[in-house]
Amino acid sequence: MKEHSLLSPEKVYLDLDLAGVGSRFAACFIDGIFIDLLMIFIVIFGIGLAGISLALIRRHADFSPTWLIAAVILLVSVILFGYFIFFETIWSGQTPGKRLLKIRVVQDNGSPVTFFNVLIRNILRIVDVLPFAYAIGIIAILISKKNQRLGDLAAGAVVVRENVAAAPAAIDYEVVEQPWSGTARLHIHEISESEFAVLKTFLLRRGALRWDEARDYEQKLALFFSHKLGLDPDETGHPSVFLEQVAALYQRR
Amino acid sequence: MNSEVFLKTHRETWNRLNLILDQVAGKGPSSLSQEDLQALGPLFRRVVAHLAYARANYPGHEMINYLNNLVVKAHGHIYKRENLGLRPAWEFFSRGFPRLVREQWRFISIAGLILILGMLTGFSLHYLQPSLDGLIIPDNMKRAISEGLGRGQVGANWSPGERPVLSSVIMTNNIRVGFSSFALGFTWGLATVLVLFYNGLMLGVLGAIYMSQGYALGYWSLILPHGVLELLAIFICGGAGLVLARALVQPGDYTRRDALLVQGRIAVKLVLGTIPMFVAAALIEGFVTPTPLPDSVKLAVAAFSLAVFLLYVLVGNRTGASR
Repeated sequence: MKEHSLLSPEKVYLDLDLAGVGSRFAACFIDGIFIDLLMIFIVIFGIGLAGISLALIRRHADFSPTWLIAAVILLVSVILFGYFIFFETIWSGQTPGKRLLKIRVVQDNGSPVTFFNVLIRNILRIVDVLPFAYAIGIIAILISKKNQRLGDLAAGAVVVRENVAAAPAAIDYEVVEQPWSGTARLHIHEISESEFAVLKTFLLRRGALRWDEARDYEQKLALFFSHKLGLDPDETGHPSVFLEQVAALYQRR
Repeated sequence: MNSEVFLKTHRETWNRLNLILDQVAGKGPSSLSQEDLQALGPLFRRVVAHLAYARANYPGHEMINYLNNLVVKAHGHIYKRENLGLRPAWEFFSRGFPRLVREQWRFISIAGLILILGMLTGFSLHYLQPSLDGLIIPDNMKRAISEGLGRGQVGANWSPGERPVLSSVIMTNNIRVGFSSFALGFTWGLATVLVLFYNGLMLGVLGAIYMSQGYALGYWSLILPHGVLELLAIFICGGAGLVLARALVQPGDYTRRDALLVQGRIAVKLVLGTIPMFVAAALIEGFVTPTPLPDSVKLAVAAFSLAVFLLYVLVGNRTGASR
């Protein structure tokens, strides 16, 4: 997966996950379906209205439903064209299709797109769809460094994946003084970040492990940490309690 | 401070920022309470600092990813620019567009010259080598026109009921042509030149056909009423395409990528401004041209539309000093 790293105004590096050809094509496909549905709806609606008005106002000879047809033609064109522009402006870079695939158009400096960005990248869609089925656009995406098609290049925009991760879990155990707690506290600072990461991961996920695997890990970890903390493995009590207490002590360091 | 302590200490802050951002995304910034609104800025700065700290001290930790995405999300809402609305639109059409037209008159003129060149070529083609006409105007269309002219009928006569349809079809088609000639500027301008030239050819050959049958005046009164505005709009769109092409052909001190951004904005604004022109032209073509009004009236409409356009550009450029 391609990433685009940029320096924010706060002088921090932000990593944007760039959306690949697959997601973009899928989003476009879904949008195409929506557009088709909208058009069918409008055409049916227009014809229906025309039919009703014809039936009702039959007597007035000079009235014709052609105004309606004219409106339908206009509306169809507006939709074909304006669908993308409208949604990408209103939803700050997303269309319904993009929303479903959780991707978004942003400027390549990370800020949200402006109206002109949206306008440029969508007018240039005319070139990107040539000679058929977005061939030029797809080639451009594959070649460019930031997965940009011609419209994106001209507008200075990129399409990114929106990652909505949950806040990392914290573990919270009550400290219950054990006979070995004092000694453990003396050495607790010797546990490195990555070692603690292993412990934490285990504690969070042990419920998902098979019982015998969990026990296996438990014992290995207990052995490791008791050595690390300078304790006698036989005096640390039940491995799972031991590990929880080690984690609790580490947290309160 | 180890990562776990860091996590526990600051989780609440991150959650709070996330909640505020979700509220802004859902109901807009005006739905925030006074307290939240004032807290947003400092919260953002604090979380950004957390990200930097975590990156430096706890490399590879999962909270870095989380903080990164949170900051990106916040960034999107905090740095948003408000640029829709009636005021900017009015600014654009009353001042922005006329000024752009004047600034880019060279490209617009070049586009115009190409089209006129095509026209002259088509014209002389018909007289010098009539057999080649078929390449540009399909034979059956040529026949239909000749037959119509033989009967004294210039142009098609549409009933009043059909005119709105005609208008909207023409409108949408022309706008599409205009947009295409802009978009095709990406081909280093080659496709734009071709499109302009080809359109000119068609006009030229058509004109020659009418004139050879003695309907010169009729032809001009057929195409000029709407044609003035439409041709001007096409010149501008073609010019916009060439502006885009210039970014690729002659980026000057910019890289091509940056030149595209700069010139692209100019070009797209030009195209945007032509839309009302196309609409007006299509309305005229749908409602005025097919009527049996006398030629003089139709030509007067043409002259009037030209005058209005020139006045518009003039006034737009004169109003006040540039901001």
